[in-house]
Amino acid sequence: MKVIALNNVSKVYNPKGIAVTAVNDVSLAFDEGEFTAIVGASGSGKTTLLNMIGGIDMPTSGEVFVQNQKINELSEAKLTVFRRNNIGFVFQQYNLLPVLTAMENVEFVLEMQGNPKAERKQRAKELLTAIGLGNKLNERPGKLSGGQQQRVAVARALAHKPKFIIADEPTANLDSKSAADLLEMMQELNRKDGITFIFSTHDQRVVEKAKRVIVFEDGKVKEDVSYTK
Amino acid sequence: MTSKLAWKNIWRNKTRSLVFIIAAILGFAMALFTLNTMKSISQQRLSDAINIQTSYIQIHKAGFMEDREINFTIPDAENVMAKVKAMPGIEIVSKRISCNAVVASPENNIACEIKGVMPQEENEISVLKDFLVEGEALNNNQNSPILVSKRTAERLKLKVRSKVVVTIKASNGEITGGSFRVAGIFVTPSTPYDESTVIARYNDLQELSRIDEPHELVIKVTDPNKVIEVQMAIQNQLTNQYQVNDWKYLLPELFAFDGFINMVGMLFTIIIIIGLGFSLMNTMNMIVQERTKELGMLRAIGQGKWSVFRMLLKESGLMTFIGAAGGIVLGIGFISVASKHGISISEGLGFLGIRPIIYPTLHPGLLIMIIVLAIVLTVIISTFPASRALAIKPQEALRD
Repeated sequence: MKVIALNNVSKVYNPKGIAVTAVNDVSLAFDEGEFTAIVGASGSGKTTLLNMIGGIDMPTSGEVFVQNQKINELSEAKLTVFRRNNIGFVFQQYNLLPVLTAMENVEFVLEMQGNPKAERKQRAKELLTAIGLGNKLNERPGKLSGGQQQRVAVARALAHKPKFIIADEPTANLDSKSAADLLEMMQELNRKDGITFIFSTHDQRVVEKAKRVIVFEDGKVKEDVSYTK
Repeated sequence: MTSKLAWKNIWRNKTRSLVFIIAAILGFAMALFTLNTMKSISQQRLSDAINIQTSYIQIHKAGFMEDREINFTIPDAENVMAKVKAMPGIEIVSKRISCNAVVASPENNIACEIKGVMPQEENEISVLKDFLVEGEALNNNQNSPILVSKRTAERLKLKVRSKVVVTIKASNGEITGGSFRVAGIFVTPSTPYDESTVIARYNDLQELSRIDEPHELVIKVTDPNKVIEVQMAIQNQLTNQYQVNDWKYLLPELFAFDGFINMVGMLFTIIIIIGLGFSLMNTMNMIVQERTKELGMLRAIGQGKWSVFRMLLKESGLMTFIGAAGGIVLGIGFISVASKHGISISEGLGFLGIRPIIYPTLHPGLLIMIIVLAIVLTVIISTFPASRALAIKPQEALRD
C-alpha cells in the first residue's frame, strides 16, 4: 500500500536571484514499512527531497501525498501539526536540546502533543531503555557519545509513535560501531513495528542494509532498486 | 516543559544572562530607591509647609491674597468660625492676623511678615513648636512674647528674652510700634520662611494694628485626602466676599515642585528602563541568532511558531522577573536602611524647604509602577527579538 507519493515534484531555490533546481520533476512512491536509502553526492537534492516528504519544505511544483493527504496545500499551522503527529525526524547533527536530559528530550515531543506527564515519562523511559540508554536517562547530550546522542534522537523521533521516520544522514557523524548499532536498531524497529524509514546517506554500510535504494543525481532519480532482505 | 526549557536556556550562557540580571537588579533598585527618595523629599516639603505655615485650608476676605491690605479682614469672623467648626471633616479652626512689619533690635532691623496667632489653637494646627531650638512656644502667661527664627535672631543679635520693637502700619494708616520679648527661637526646614516670618500672639498684634477681625482663618481637616471636598463645602456655605483656598493654592511653588520632582523621578526611571530594554533586546537578539538552528529543529519536529515565540518571551520574562524581583528587594533594603539612618544632604537646600537629612519611605504606588514597567519592558522589548523567531523557516534554519 502506497503511503507516500510524490508526483512531478520540483524544487527551485532562488538564492541571490539565481535559480537553482534542487529537485527536478521527481515522481516516487513509498510503501508502508519500507526501509529506503536515498543516496547521492552532496548537493544532489537528497535533503530537499526528504524535507518535502516530511512537510518541512514545499515543492515549487508538483504534489506530495502522505497517507492520501496532499500536504503541500496545507497551511503552515496544519503542516506543523501534521509533522508533530505523523513524522519522526532524525538529523545528521542529532539536534538534541543541550539543556535537557535524554529523558526530557524525548518527553518534549510528547508534551507538544499534550500527553500527560506520567504517560510521557513512562514512554520516554521505555524507549530509551529499549535502545540501550536506560542508564543514561538523566544525562544531558553533552555527556553522551555521538552514537548515544543519535540514539536519543531516534528515541525522540519514535516517541509519538509516528508512521514514518525521516532521517537525514543519520550515521554521518558516527564511528563505524555506533553506525552499525544504530542501523541494527533502526532495522529492528522497521521489522518489528513496521515503521517506514526513509533516510539519505553517503554511507555504503547503510546502503547495504536498505531494502530499497534510490540513487539521486542532479535533482533527479537516476536509479531506484528494491531488494528482498 | 517550555517553562523548564526557558529557565534552563537562561543559564546556557551564564555570563551573558548574569550581566543582564545584575544590570536589571541594580537598575530596578536604583529606580525604586530614587523614585521613593524624591517622592519622600517632595512629601516632606509639602508636609512641613502645610503643618508649619498654611495648614490645609484658609479663609480670607476676597482680595486679601492679591493685596494683603491691613484692612482686608474677614467680616463676621467669629460666626464664620463657628459655622466652619460645625461642618464635617474639620479638626480645628483658628484665626490669624498677618501683616508686614519691621522688627528692630538695638543692633539691626529686618522687614518681615508678622503673624498674630491664638497660642492654644495654633499649637494644635502648627508643628512650629517642634522646631524650637531655644525658649518656649507662645502661651497666654507671657508678656508680649514673640517667636523669631535663628537666622533672624543672628541678624538682630537676639537671645531668648531679648527685646525687639515691631513697627507696623495700623488699620487707620498710622505707623505704630510695640515692644515684644523673644520667647522662643525656631529653625524650620524652610530658609525663606525663617527669614521672613515672626510670630506673635493674636491679641497683642490686634491691639497694635487696631483691627477687629482676623486676616485669615486657618483650618486643619481630619482627612488630608478630602481637602478639596471640604474646601468646596465651606465655600458653598459662605458668600463671595470670602475666599476659601486649599494648600495647593496657598503654596503654588511647592505644588509645582512636587509635580516637577515626580516628573524628574519618572524620567530617571524611564531612562533606566530604556537602558535595560536595550540590554534585554541585545541579549534576546543574540539568543535568537545563536539558536536559529535549534529553533528551526523545534519547528521541524512540530512545535508551533507561536509556541516558540512564547518560549522566548518566557526566557526574557524570567530574566526580567529575576532582575526586577532582586532589584525590588534590594531597593526596599536601601529604603529601609535609609529610613532608619537617614540620608544626609546639603544644608544648602533649605532655600527649597528640604531638610538636611532625608528619611525616605516606600510608596506602594511607586512599587506598583516599577512592577508594571518591568512587565511592559518584557512584553514590548522582547517582542521584537522573539518575533524574529516567528520568521524562522525550519528547512533554512536546519541547512545553515
